[in-house]
Amino acid sequence: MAAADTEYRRQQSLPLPGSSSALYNNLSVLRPPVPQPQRFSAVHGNTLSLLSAAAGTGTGLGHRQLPAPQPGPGIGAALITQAAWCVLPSRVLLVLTSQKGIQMYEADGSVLVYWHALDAPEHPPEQAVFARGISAAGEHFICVGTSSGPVLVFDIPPKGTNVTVSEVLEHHGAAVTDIAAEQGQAPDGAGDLVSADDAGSLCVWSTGEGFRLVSRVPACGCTCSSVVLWQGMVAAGFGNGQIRLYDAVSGRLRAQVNAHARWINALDLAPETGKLLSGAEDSFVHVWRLSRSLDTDDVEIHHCHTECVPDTQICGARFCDPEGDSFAVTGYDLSEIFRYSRT
Amino acid sequence: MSVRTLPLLFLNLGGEMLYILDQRLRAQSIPGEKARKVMNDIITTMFNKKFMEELFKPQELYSKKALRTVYDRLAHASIMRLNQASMDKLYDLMTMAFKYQVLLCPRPRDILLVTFNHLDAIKDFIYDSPGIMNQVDETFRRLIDTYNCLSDGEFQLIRQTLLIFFQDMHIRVSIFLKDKVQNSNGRFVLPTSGPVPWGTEVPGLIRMFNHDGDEVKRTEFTTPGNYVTPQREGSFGLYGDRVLKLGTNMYSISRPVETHMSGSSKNLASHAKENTVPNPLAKEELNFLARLLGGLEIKNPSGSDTGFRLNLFTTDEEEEYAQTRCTD
Repeated sequence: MAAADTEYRRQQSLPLPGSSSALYNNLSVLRPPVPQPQRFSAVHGNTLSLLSAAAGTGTGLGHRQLPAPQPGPGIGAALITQAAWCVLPSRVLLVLTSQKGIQMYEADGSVLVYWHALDAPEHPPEQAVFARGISAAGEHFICVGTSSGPVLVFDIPPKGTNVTVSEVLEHHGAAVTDIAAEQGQAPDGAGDLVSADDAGSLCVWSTGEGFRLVSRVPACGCTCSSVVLWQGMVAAGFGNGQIRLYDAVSGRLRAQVNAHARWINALDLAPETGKLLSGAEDSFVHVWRLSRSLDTDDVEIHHCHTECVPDTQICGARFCDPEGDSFAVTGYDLSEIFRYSRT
Repeated sequence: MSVRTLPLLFLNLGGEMLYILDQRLRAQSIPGEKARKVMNDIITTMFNKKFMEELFKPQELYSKKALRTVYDRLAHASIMRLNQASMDKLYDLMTMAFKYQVLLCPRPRDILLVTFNHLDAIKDFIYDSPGIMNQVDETFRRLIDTYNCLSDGEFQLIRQTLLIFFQDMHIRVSIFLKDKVQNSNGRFVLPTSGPVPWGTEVPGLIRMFNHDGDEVKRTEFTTPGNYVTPQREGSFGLYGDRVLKLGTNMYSISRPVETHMSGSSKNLASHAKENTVPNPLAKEELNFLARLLGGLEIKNPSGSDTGFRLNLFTTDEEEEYAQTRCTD
């Protein structure tokens, strides 16, 4: 199956009030039903920039900044590690993770719904303490990872602020980097959530009243910084520039791509088409297409398109529509969100 | 974020400072004995045992202000004096050089090789003083003990912490502009060719496997980049070929130290806005380290050891002009 190069063209950038920090997965996009505006968020040190853009024209509408609240007496504002919108059937929350803990806001950032402080055993701690890795899971959960390895599972009520910690998942031995939920149809026996860590180990979970570990890819000594899950396939981006596809049921390696010349910082998936987006510190963004044959169980990945953002270490990349016809990119020290589109 | 960043920040910035001071001492034709004394005094202060012990404790990075004060003290640890304009320029050059090195490091772990390059050069500056050499070797060993066992992920966290510290700094440096490693807008050039990092494959190959693990298909894709496999890995030991050139001395007599006057950090609109939340601890840490450095024995000018002023600009007139534009 030949991969045709689909033409993406640069669109107007969205200016950011502050430049983006060098972090993993440093861009989140919320795509509510039209005609509501699209929302973008990028982390700048200890603040989060929130932008909105008109659906259709894509013109910038406005922005606000979320400071992380003062976490305690006499301690400076904490650095934010990641921010992501979590879309649940009942509500959408904007979750921020930082050195001090986890904050959950209403989707537009207007109201703080919940604040969870991380335990800092000693001060100053021997190891860095922070939360990182955010995903909606199941019908009413939000999962957040931590620097010591445990993943916190929050039970989210349909309204109000009564968020509780329902479970702590303890299978990672290194700092959690990213968590992602199944975006398509999981085959029988496959889990619907995947978490990744600094040592390159991946855990696939089946979510519910009690989360269950379905399969595990052992640590490979290479950091997995970004992960997505689609049709029972895990796509993982690594610090050595490789993208690997794993079967979510068996944990077996199904494809290996020498994709980038530097550390991969972001992956995203377009659920309607199986397109995969990768962004790395080599200044390149690639669009790939994943496919899995139901009859033969062949798993394939093909290259579709390359964009170069000159002199930029990419730290965030997201599709802006479920077909993958448009995407947005952030870079370290860059004070704008670059956008590309096929239409 | 990472609590192991401060030693790397301090040692590498210190190393760059020594390269610049060495070049300026020669350019200003300071007599050999005086120049050597200045370098020895600064290096002795930098590698003071008690100071190093404090530095290597797990802790968050100091604020920019606190760190700048440390270097102000360090630069004045001998008979040499710098006025504020020259000190500002020295600090701008040091920070932009290390920012460049951190950004361009092929692997996060290579920041350690950059640090070793600086230390190797420092050892050359004091090759004839066994006492100070001991202190530097001691620090070398402490670096190896502390950092060689860290994972790639932990190194990337250190690198991310450093990049957050250097965020939004775009001061233009003449030598970088001339070598075309920095654009006229102050941003560094990221090459898309050359050797890939050790442990990374040249991009292009896609391998697909069946559920038994057998490779069943292989395809290639092309990218605009032009990458090759690296020759060998640099040495992480006390001695050895580091292979990486980042962190070696880029200044020499024929390549003087200059910054673009028009890009002076004082009037750049994009100059980093420091975390505006007042940090009550900042005063504390400022005092502690500054006290530690200030409390160390400083050779006072006496008799033949007369002090002198070092100028970071090419002429006295330039320095005077820069001095008048200094903000307090």
